Amino acid sequence: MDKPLFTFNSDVFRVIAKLFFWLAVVYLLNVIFYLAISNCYLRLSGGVSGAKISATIRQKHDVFIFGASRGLRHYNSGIISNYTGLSVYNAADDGKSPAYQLGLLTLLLEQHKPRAVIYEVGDIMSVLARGDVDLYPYYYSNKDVRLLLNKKDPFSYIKFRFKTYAYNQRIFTGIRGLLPGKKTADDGYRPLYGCIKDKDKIEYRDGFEGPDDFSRSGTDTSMIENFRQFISVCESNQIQVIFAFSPTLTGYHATCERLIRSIALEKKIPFFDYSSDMRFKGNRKLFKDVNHLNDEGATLFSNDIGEKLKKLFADRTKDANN
Amino acid sequence: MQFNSIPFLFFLLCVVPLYYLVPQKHKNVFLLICSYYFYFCAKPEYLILLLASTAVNYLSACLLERGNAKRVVLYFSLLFNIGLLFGFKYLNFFNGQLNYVFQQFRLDIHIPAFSIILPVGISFYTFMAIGYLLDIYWGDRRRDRNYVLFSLYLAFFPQILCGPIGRAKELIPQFVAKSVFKYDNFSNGFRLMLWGLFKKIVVADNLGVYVDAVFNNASRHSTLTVIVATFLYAFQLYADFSGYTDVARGIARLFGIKLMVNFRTPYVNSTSVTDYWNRNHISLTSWFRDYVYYPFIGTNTGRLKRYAGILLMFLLSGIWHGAGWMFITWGLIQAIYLVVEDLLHIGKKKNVTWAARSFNQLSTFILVSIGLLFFRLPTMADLCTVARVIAGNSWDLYTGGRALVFAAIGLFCVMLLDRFMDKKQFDEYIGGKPLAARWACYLTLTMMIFLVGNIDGQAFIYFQF
Repeated sequence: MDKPLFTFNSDVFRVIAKLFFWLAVVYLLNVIFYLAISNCYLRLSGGVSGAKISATIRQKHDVFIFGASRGLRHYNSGIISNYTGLSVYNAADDGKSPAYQLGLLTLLLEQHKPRAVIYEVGDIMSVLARGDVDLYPYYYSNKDVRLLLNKKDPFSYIKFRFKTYAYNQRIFTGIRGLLPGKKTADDGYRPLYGCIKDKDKIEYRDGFEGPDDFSRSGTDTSMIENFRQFISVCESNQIQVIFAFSPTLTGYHATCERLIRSIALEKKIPFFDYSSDMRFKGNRKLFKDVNHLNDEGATLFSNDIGEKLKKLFADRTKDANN
Repeated sequence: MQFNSIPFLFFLLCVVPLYYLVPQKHKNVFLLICSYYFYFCAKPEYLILLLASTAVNYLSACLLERGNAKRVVLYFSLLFNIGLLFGFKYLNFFNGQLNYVFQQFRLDIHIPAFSIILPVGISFYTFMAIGYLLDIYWGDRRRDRNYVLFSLYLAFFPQILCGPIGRAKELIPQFVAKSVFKYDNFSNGFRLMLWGLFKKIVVADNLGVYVDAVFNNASRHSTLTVIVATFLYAFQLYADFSGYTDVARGIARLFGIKLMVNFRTPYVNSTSVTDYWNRNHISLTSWFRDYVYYPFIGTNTGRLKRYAGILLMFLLSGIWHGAGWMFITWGLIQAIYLVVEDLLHIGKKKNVTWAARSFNQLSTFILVSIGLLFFRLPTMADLCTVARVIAGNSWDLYTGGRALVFAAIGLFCVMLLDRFMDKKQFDEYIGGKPLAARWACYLTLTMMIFLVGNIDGQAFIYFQF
């Protein structure tokens, strides 16, 4: 008689049993941690770093500012609000991609429809290749977010089987939700303080960096699609979109500026371009680093754009009344 | 397919049960097919290179054993292997240097750069092949009659991409031995894999976020930040590479194969740079010792010859790591460390006080970290930038956000366990603990990977070599 290929000995049973036990305990711990962290995280309404989404979707403001670090550091919501007479919330966050902005908008629209959004477009190029889609906690609750995350990573549906993946690296943010302290809603603006030292060398540039070459390595072209989709979602919800390119120290022009200009022209979106504004260009006192204004610079910029927005909103109201 | 990826998990879930279902006489063929598939997934065209290298080296081994013109055959085979490395790894560097010379002499000659992507693992399997041929040439082992065994020795998937650089005398007998499903192999294998993944995902990839942020823009950071990043890079490299090795050793154990130990807690227990090199990347260091140092220098030689041997060994080690002056300088620095230590008798005293031992450990770590700057920074200009920042006087620290906090927690666990393990490996150390402690450790490591690990992190650093 032929020998069997494989005998199911006690070692096989022990390995399988222990593997299943390990998996079962890990799964259970995952569920426990998920419930504990999500309970704390979703309570956060602002003032805690890393909880910008949960803070944003609780806001009921008229105007929201979208973007990455330049958006977050340059738009003083209070000042803009004073000029326009509308409530303003700064929803921008460090390193966030156009896919994140789209996801955040869909999450926001579940709760509230703003009157207008200001999109800081100077951030886009820097986040196209490496900007994150930090929407994980909303994977289970929002279909659009789920689609965005599944598109980003084809294995995300497996990773999200383990529920703590949704709160991967957010455990401290969640715990801070339990601690006493500043958790009340604020205006979202996070200023930078200090300025560039005189000894730091700065390379000044004029004109465009290069052609709109989105096929270059590292650039995720689907992010451009997300940017376009963001505008479509705003259009379909009758939310006014405003593009702004906040001041730069070096007169930097994003590679994709031509694309943004063409979209602005096509969709009749107002575009406030401060990228080469001579009040800011080369003025080290107004910048914390090459890409970011400090609080003084942000105040100056917010006053200026606030004035322009006031005029824009007034004109629009007039047009609507007529 | 990275060890820390979902496709690899599926690959392993298919391969391991099938391996034990396949009849004994076909197990090695099965493992070879799986290994080739694994390598094919890395880059299909480079599988041809691996197949060609295997065939030529096996043919050379056959000719070497026949005894006719052994030396010619050896030279030919060494030329072939070194030529492969040169063609794929060093050609553009060499051309660049030639262009520089032509430019200096104002010659109107320009050699264009070739578009070559380094085949993953070429440095590792080429060294294994060279070691095999030299063993046969010196009569230390006989050629294996079975071509599959030789092919598997070079292509065994857990070690082909980043080592450890195995030895034929240790690996091939394990392939030949009857493979039986053993509980111990699986428990030790899973332990090593878990520990390796923890080091990679929680420590190395989180540290990488900080280190990359600093070194990619060093001029904008303070003195203190760059110094901290220098030390953290040393930890990142260790956690990354030793993590990879642990996972590789763990996977091999699932097939009943014991791969060579590559690290013996180099950072917390080394009392000199010499000691560090006895504990760090052991498979490469011992390869150079056995196939370069001893054959060229011998064992009982004078001091000068010994130093020349050390210099040769570490210069080659630098070149092995990459084509560039930074790697060569790194090798030179290591050789200088070792020579100076030998001259000053550092680390040779026994029964030193706790304070002296700690001082030696700390100074070793600092020296190694400084040397690793040459490893991390791509050009001399970058190194000058970093040196300028370090020579400056700005002491505000870039905190780097949550990733650094998570890395610090993981690093503390790794260093603490390394301290206790000393020369033991994780599987041996934890295997000796009570059941409750073992399971508490497994679950803590697993949950830390899920909660604080940089799950969507980077590729293993040593893939570039």
